[in-house]
Amino acid sequence: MQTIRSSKTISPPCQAESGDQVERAPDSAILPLEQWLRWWDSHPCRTTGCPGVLLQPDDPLQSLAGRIDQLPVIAINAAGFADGRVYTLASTLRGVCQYRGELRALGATLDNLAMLGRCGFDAFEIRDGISVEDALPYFSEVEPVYGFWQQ
Amino acid sequence: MYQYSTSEQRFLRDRAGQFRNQVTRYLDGELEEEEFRQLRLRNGLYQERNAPMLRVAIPYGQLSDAQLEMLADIADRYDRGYGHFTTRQNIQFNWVRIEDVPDILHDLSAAGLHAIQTSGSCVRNTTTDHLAGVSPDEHVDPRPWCELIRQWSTLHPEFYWLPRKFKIAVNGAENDRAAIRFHDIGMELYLDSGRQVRIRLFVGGGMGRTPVLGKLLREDILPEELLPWLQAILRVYNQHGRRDHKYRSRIKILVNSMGMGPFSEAVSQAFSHARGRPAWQPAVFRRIAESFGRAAPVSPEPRLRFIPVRSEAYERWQEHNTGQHALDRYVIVHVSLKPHGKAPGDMDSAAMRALAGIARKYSSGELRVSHEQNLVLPWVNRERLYDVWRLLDEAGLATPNIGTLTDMISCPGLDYCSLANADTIPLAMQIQERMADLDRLYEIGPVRLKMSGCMNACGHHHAGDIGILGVDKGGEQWYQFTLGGNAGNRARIGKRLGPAIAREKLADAVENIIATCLAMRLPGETFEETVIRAGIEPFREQLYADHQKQQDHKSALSG
Repeated sequence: MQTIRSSKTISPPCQAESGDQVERAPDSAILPLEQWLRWWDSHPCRTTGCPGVLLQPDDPLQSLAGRIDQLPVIAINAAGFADGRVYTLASTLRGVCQYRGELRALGATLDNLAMLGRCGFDAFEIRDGISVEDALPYFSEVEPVYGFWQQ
Repeated sequence: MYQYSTSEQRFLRDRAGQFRNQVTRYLDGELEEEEFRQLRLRNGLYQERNAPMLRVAIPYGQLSDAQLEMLADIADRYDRGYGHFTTRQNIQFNWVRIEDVPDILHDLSAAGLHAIQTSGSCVRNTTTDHLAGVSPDEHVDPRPWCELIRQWSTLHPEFYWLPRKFKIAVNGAENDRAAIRFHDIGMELYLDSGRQVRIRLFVGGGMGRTPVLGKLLREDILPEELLPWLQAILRVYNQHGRRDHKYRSRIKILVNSMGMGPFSEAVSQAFSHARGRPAWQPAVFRRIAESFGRAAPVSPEPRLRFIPVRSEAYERWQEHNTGQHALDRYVIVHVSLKPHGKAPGDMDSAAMRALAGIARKYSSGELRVSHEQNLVLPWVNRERLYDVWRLLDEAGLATPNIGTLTDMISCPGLDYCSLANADTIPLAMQIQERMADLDRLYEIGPVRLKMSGCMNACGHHHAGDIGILGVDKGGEQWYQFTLGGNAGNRARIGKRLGPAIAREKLADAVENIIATCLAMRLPGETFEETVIRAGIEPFREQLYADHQKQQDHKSALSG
């Protein structure tokens, strides 16, 4: 699987780096929500860096309340092509929780890259078989003309 | 009318190009069936019984003469020379080829038309009063609000993949002509004591297999709070609405399962968390509002000096197919798409072009599509009314039956729709033929007859004075009657009359119901008033009396 990361300072927002070149947190550093909550409870001092969390679309965000700032990365399982919960989770993390760390979409595919990006994802692990070069144009296939969601 | 800017036109072309790419990848086998299905639905493309169907958006029912001409061109170029206007103010082409759809969308974009979000689980075309901006009973013109909602909801990245379709209707008049209590969100615009615009939101209404009236969520909403409230409702729905069962995923089911109190609480929380976003943009709203001017240009031709010969046909038409305008100089003209013996809502390309010409010359180039599947000329100068009638009559568009029994609503039924259980169009035509006598129709008075070919209720049967629902019983077509529904201010869900009626008895049954009403109604009473006063019991007795006699006869023979 390859990863695309966006630069927050340029437009169009995304540039590619193939997965091998990217300095990626090892998989062990991203824990599913339940494990992550256990890790949190068992590390009261938290002298070492906090691992990232992997959310499923139906995971409740409330369980992360007050700890979101600590997360270096939040990955969301975005493999369900038409699962709108992924988009509301991301929009809520960015717009309501003011989360500023990495927000990574797992299993993204060509036709949902642009909308994932607009909801605040800035890293995209694209499905196997899709090349980064093929994927990049899909971020700006249809330039949005109404920007209410950007505010 | 709202005019698209160059960047909006570019957006429509880009969107058509995006779909061209998706179709190419699908036909090349690079896009999975299910993913393509989701993408094509969001471009209005269905796979129906006989052929693909393309539903083109007519945002809140506003149509220009040039747009109607474009629809006629599309019908001729890519379809069989006609289109079907729907109960949601859109138009459907029933015989397109998938390969042609990118070209159709490209052609449409030149006239500012598109098929964005006309199907699929997303925010659909916002509907409103077909008399918006010209009706004497209007408090607030709903069109700028509809356009604002259209812009906000178009390709909204957060709400593009909802659990199920989502329909918003807006009304700003004393009489609700937008059926707001039957929508996922119903929005009512009104003026407070200081003449300031305020908004009331109803949520969780709908038809379908579980008809529910929308419940009041909140009132006294300020204009700048509208989008934050809509966002909050959609956010709660997108996160918590069911996705595991097609028939339990509308917002009405969520509202019922959470309970209105907790649902409302969750929405209020989402609203307060959003802290006033999306922010109100006065300049954006002003640009939108200014595009819907009230004053129409003065009729370009000099006034005719002769007094037309008053024919009975003209008088009848004037009485039934025209309405009072907010400005005295003008008349609202209803164009009936229910000539007796044709599919309700169908219109061929010749009629479209004729009507576009009439609209250009006599109605400031403006038309409306009503949710009753008719068209409206909103700006006809009183002095030109006779000319307009003559031209409409020539084009077969002057059937004087607006508001009568034969002005019925019908979904396409088994003729086209892959969801349907039963025919609707052939039966609608049968009823029309049976009821074609105008004097009799006028004697019966206003009746809203609404027919759906399945539980999904696209024909709005729950909201009809007489509702008819087609059901399949072991491969046979049967029809379930409801009485007393209302989509307006007295919103009510029709009550079921009794066991379903066999297909061949359907027209008889309609006659029976009408005869029962005529036999007992008080002077001046409408069909609706008789049903409310007398209840449905007398209708049930009369309708099933014959049936019961037959049953008795049968059991006597067998006993």
